Amino acid sequence: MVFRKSKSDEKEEAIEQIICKRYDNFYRMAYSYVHDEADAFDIVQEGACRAIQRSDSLKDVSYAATWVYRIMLNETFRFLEKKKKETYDELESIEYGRVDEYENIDLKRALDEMEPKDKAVIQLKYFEEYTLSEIAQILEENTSTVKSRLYRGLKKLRIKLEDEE
Amino acid sequence: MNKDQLMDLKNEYEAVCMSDVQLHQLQKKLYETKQKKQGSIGKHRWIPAAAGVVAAALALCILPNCSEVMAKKLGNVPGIGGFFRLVTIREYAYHDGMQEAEVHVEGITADDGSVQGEQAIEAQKEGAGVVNEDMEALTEKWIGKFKKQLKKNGYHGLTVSSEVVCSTGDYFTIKLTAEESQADTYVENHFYTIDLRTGKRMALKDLFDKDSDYVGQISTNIKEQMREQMAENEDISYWLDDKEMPENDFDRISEDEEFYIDDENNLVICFQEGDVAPMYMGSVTFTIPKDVLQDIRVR
Repeated sequence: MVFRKSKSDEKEEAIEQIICKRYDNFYRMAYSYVHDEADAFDIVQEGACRAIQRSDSLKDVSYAATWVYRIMLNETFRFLEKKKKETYDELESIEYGRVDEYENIDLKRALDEMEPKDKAVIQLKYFEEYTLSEIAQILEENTSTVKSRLYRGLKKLRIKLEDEE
Repeated sequence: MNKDQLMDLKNEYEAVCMSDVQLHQLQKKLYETKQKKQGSIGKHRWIPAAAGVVAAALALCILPNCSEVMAKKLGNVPGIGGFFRLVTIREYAYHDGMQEAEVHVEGITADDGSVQGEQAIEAQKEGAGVVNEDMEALTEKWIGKFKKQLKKNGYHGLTVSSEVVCSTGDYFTIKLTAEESQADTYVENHFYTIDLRTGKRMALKDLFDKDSDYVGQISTNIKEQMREQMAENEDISYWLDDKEMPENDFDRISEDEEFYIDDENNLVICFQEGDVAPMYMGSVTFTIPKDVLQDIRVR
């Protein structure tokens, strides 16, 4: 028997599928900002709940992937803000205390020192292999803003641009 | 700096993964969130079904049907010993484009024509009556719930059916299954095992020596199987050895856990969805090898 699904069920299901398929991607992304497993997990869990709860506000199922990513990223940024306020007094050393043995230490430090959104663009582009227009959807910015974030980021990493579109 | 270094960094980035415990917790949380959400939708957002929808709806109910014709058509299923026949005890259907229900439940009836003593037939009739009553009550409960949900917005589906899952010379088991769908599908199974020698429904405890710790022995075996399966396949997950939420771990089966006896006389313990494993694992069952229980089994 074929059961027909309502639109809102479809959305929720699409969102759930994305969470179930891409939880590690979200987790990595969060971890790259907070450098702590428990915090990264909290972010993903919180983001996942938010996404399910608000599934009705997703406009179209075809945007589900970037929509969920956006929620996760916002959750991460929110966390960073909160942490910043909490640790205002002990400004030094929070971010790099945990940098493990690490070959590309300069590169990683450069990434960590970037503005969070610039860093997101670099990671989404090169690690997650999203297109610029998808990244624009995730960040809710227009493509040219994303492009300039990318250029600025790469410049900081002192990586030469080859054939970026 | 060059792109190779960026690729190294990518490899390191990708090495970060959620642990199994975290994943397990995430799944649990997702499930809870969905349940909670459905609950709140039910409470605050229901709208009465439109009149047109109701008018177009086709609902039919057939009351328990034990007429000779019907019984002949459905009954005398070979393999249930010739002592019992299947007979339709509840039918219900509803379709209106949004909501759908299909209920067809067969219970059992003692076969008057079989060559047995009158006493045996009486006992079988009584046994069948008890099983049918229980199946009917559960079915009514599901139908009632479905009808209530008709008033609410959104899709609801219900399928209830029954089937003989197993029969040996000594026992046969009829399984009653309800599948309730909303955003998710939830399956609930109930097993009725009839002892052909007495004509009565068997309880789990009837299989074992009175003084035995069958609950403990079965539970230990299930836990072993769970650990083995989880070690073998990382997609398999049970609520066991969970460091984050040990209070949720599977501990013991209940004294009257659902069960049946398979063709090879092994006991099969059947759990409801979500009882001992995340919902995505479905309705899990464990076959307890005969030899594990041979010292305490009396039937």
